[in-house]
Amino acid sequence: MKLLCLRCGNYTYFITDITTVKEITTNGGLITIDNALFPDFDYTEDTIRENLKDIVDYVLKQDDSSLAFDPETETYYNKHITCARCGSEKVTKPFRPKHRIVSLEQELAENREEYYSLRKERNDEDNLPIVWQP
Amino acid sequence: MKIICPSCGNHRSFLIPLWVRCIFKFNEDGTLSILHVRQLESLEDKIVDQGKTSFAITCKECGADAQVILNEYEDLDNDKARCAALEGL
Repeated sequence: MKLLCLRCGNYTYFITDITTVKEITTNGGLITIDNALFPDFDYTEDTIRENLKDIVDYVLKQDDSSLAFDPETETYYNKHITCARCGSEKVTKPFRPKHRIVSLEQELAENREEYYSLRKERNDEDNLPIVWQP
Repeated sequence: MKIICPSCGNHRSFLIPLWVRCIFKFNEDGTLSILHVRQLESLEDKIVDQGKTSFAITCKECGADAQVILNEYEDLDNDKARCAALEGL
């Protein structure tokens, strides 16, 4: 579960607005619109997929920054992504209780033995006895 | 109506940026699947607004801003009108 609608509980289907690029072709006064095709790829499809991925990654990374405060309802709403089931803009990352807060010093001390064994492995790798030679 | 590129003279293929509304879903493996894409902007408005916004039609060949001539016979009509006015005088 990456995003959650606070109103209906949907965590699968969402809507977002993105930009894409289409190709206009003019021929004898007629204008046709189609996907922008280049010799090796479809630019229109590529921009849709890339921009969708970008906006989702941005919302997941920024979390709080992608939310805006609505003074009328006194709630936060998502500026970029809305729920596709109920249309609500109250879409956020699911709340997760924070892990225990441990200082870096304490964490290093706890993992010291593991670090020593890792370093030993690396040092010993170069000094392994030769048991067989072709 | 005519669309031309003032830089390279191309008059066939151009690129136009458009806003679209995309419905997507998260798959179980964390990837995204697109369910539906709907165009949000009117193409006519975009063509008429060419030159007024930075979100413009560009040439597919060289990337320069394209020039949209809505009525290519406008100058010709003006010339005719001027001639008629002079003749009238």
